[in-house]
Amino acid sequence: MKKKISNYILFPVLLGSVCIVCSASLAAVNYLAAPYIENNKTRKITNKIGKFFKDNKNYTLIYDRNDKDVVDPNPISSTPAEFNSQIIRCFRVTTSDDKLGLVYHMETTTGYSGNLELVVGVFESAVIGLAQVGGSEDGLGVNAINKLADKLGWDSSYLPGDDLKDLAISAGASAKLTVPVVQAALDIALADEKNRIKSSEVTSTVEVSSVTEVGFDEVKCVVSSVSEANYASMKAEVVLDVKGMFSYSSTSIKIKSVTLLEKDDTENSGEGKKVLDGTATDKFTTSSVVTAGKTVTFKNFSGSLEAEVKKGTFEDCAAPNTARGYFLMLNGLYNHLKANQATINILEKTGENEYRIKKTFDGLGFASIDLSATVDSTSTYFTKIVINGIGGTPAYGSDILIDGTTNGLDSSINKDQANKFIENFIKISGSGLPISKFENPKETTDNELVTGATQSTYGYYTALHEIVMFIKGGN
Amino acid sequence: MENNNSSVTSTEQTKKVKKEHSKAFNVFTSGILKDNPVLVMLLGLCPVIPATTSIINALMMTIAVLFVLLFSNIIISSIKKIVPNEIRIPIYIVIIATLVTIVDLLLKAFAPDISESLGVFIPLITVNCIILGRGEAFASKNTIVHSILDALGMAIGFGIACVTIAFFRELLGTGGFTLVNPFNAEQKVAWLPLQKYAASVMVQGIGGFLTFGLVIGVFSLFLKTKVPSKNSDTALKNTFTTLHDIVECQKSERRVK
Repeated sequence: MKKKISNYILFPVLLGSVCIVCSASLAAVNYLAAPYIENNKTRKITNKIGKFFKDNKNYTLIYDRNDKDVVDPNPISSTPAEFNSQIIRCFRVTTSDDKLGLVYHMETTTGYSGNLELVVGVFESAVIGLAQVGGSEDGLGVNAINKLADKLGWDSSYLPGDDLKDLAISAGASAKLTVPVVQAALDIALADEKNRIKSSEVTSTVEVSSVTEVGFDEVKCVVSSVSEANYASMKAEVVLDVKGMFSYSSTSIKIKSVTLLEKDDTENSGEGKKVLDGTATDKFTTSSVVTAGKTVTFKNFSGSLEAEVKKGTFEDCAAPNTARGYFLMLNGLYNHLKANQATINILEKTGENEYRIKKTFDGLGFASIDLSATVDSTSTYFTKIVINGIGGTPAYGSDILIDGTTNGLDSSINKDQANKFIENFIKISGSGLPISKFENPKETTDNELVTGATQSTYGYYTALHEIVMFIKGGN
Repeated sequence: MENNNSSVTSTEQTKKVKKEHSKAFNVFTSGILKDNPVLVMLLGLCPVIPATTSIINALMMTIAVLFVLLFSNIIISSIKKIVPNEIRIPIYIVIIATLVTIVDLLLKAFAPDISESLGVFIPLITVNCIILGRGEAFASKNTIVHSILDALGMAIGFGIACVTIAFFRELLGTGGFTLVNPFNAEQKVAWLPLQKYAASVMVQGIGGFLTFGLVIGVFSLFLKTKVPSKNSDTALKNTFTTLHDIVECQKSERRVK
């Protein structure tokens, strides 16, 4: 006899079975589609970054609430503030002029019927872009936010305390509940940006205890740096190669060596030690840490730490705080030399009858000169004059002073004057060039020096005049 | 005798096959013309207006409806014998909702711009009368093959209606046509010769209803003149039958009182 199953059992079993099969199917499809959907969402957000910051150079994901593996490879600050729980992701954007902006992917609290997922662009403490990218809020609320998003831009940004009430009223009843939660989200983004950027303004104290010119080609400095942040503090003797250079801001000045005299104990091992030894393989160490036999351009340390952070200089460094400490020390030295000893002036007797002068002139870049002169035994004639370097880029000055010709001079220049200068003050013939010709000081306006490369000829004349005075002074 | 018997059997079989083919053909074509779900039966109108602002949207909505309708018909037809009458509607709805969610997820994953453009109208396919209507009225009573043919016919009929309405709305509303690669919205081809004369009202709701009404009128005229059939006024007949039933019912109630 066939037993009939009770409907009380059959119906739930059937419905349950259908639900289980359907759930399994959905789970499988969701498993396959989820990565694509996530990618699409990320792409949507990054598209907004391009819209907010049209001239952005690059952007980096620095925080993801759902992915703990996302860490800022190049932290703005060594002690970054915690992200608010409403912030889902945060991107750091570098503008074409190396300024820093932040773009937040965040969610609001519940407005009228649901929440909203927003993308908020913040630049210099103002919201310059807003877009809704998801959420379950009702249509009127979303319309209100779209209206606000249309209004926001570089010229009409949202600042803390701005009133959005008018928008809420004109957008419909439910928007009265939506706009406040969006405003709260904007304020969270602004507060976060403010904290994050502020904490990146690190101060350090750099002290240059000595600057010694060693001959004409080297300058030895002792510098110490103490950072208020967690960056490494250190003291070092730095030797600069200034051969043929006249200004510390010259791009050609190289750091020959950095000998660490003092450093934090923590730098004696691990990644920090590798950075200071120059054995680490990150971008900063390979390009900026001076090691034996390797020189580094001094001007690499001319920018601010913040600018270097934005450029991504410390991006792949395993010991960024050590690297930053090192950078801050040399950056401090650069700024000190540029501010206090912008020019290099030396005059020395380098041999029996040999003299060398390196001279620079305020406001006359082309006049800078480094030359060696040899006089006869009676100190009456210059028997040999060698130009080691002149200021500025090679031009008429190098034609006249180094080559002794006027061939390269423009036809509009009075070549006769230049030829006369060569004849009178450069050409060494017979017993030599009489030093008496250089006894009187001259100005740039002096007829004999107006050659079409007047700064160069003035520098040359004045350098030899100072040698003459030096000799006459009993040297 | 035997030969005669076998030839009779063969003729009967041929007739049977022909009848079967004819029925299958009728099932397939009725959804396209005589019982067009949108233009004749006026079913599933909810997504028609918003999904017909552009041809690409209309096509994607049609594909979504085709997918859901086809699979829901197949599943409903194949389980019709094990589903008790009392719980058939919840079971159908769960199946349809699952299929719609699958379509929604796939669109979000592989055609996100289209998904965004169609918005809430994709999830709303769940409550589209065409889907549940065909499942309940046809698939639950017919074979799988006929259910497939019915789904294809209905979806094509739905597609013809949507694309026709979208054609006029997009042309008049934007001044031409824009074809977008549904998998990469950045790849698009636009042909907008009448852009200067575009009437944006046509891509708004009011333009949708206006075009929809005109297309229904023209289609109805076409059916009356070109497809003379006892079923050509299905919707109208259904309506009258229902009214007639109501009147009859009211009369009988009065008698009881």
